Amino acid sequence: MIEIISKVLTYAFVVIIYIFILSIIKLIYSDIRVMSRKKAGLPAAEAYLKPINFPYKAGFKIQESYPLSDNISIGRGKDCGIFINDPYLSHEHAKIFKEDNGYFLEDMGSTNGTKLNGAPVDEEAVELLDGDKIEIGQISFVFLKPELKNGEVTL
Amino acid sequence: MKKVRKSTPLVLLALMNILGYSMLAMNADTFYSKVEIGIIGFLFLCLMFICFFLIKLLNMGDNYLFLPVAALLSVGLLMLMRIDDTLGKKQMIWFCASAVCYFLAYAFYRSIKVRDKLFWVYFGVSALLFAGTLILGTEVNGSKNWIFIGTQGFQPSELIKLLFVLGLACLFEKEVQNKFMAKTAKNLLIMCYVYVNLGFLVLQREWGIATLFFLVYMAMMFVFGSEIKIMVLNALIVTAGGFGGYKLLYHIQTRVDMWINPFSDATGRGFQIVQSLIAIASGSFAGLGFLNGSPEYIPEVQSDFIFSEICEEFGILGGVGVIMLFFILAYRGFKITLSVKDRFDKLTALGITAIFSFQTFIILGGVIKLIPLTGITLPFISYGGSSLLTSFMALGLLQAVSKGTEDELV
Repeated sequence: MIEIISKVLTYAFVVIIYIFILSIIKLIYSDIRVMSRKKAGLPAAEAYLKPINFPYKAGFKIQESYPLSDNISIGRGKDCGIFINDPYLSHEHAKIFKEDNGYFLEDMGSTNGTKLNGAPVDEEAVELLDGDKIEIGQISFVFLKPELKNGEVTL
Repeated sequence: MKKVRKSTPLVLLALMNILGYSMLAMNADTFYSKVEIGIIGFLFLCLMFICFFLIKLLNMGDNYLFLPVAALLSVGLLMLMRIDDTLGKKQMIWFCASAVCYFLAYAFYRSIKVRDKLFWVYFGVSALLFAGTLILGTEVNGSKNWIFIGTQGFQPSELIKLLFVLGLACLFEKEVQNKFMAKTAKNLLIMCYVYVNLGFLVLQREWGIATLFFLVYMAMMFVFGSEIKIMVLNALIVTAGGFGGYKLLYHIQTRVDMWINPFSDATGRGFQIVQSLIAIASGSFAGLGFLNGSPEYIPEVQSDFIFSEICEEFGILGGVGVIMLFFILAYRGFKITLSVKDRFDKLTALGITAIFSFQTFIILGGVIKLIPLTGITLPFISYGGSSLLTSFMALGLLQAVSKGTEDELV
């Protein structure tokens, strides 16, 4: 009896090893897909933020572009999806989320505020359109959401 | 395709360990009490999660590198707990020390910017270690490769593996003009370095590690040297050397004869490999079940032949699972090699990946009678302090290299 139980448990153990391997491979696969999209000049996500100015010797790093997920926060906190170590930013400064295929920007009660096309944004979410300019701290971003037409990207 | 959450592998890892340790605890005639099993299992999981947490927190580059390694460590520790009454505990202590070394190696590689100009340091330290082994060394199983301090022994040749790769990377890094003389000089210098190392290893009768060094050299030569003539020359030298060794040395003769037909002397010289083959055969496809095998019949089961025991209890399916974990590790290594820009980083990453993969190949090939058996450890699974420390340091260096790929952002 004990032997049968231990056999069954052993099979379970081996199955878990295989599921483990499969899950790593899936994670790596999605990683590669993002990287190969980047390499082909395509954005990694369907919408992203692109910094358009960068203060000289600002003392912090920014990326060339920030792909947007369904719900992403911007700020100086390390747990923010878009983490920028700009001293003018609040810990959790602003948030962008997706609803009904549109992206919305919301200020999270930051000290220095968020501007969309020059107008301040408060805690009421506003919809973002392709080409909108967002000012956060010392950096300005442009919101890009390329329309997919016949599988091709038009900017 | 369903989306996989980033935490899924961690949950599976925890599940795997909980299942394994509860199987150990359920069995009546284990070497440990239930409390001890619980404590060791808990400590192991804690250690793994602390490592993952630190890698994430310190933003140490590649997140996937440590995952297959953690699974390999889990399988290894479970097997050791099952085989022997003290090795599991000792291995757990070595894990803690190794984890520290892993982060130290990472910090070393990240903080020392002149790491590619330290050739003489790498070579000097390895020469010292070699000399130390020759003078102070003790002979164990026909190889004079152990230094004992009190009762605690360690194998310097394990550490030399890393120094060898770093040294080779320094030598290969220097770009020379496309002049015949300069190129030849560089190639000869590298060959000298490799053969000096090989010479020391042959003096210690470390055939396994000597083979490993040569294969790593050939891999780096193939990728970065692209000199077919030199490669052919090397292959000829080693073939001649191997043939000469076979004719002259009883040790190598035994290995080759027992590879061709171990059953001709199944109770004597071929005992190890015959026992290993019997264990693998009795495991069949699905295995006898954890704790149902008989590791006491396999010699050196805690280090060289641990794979046979895995195959006996988890079957070929389990064995292939372990090999696939090594595949993922090697794949990540190659990926890191391809994605970094710096030449020295590339060379180091390739060398370390080559060490992991060739070491696995040499020992697995040996125990399944694919190639002549030479005694080296299976990285991350076998028992052994020096081997574990070195493997972790190598992993730390690889992790440090992978961090470099992310610094290219603006």
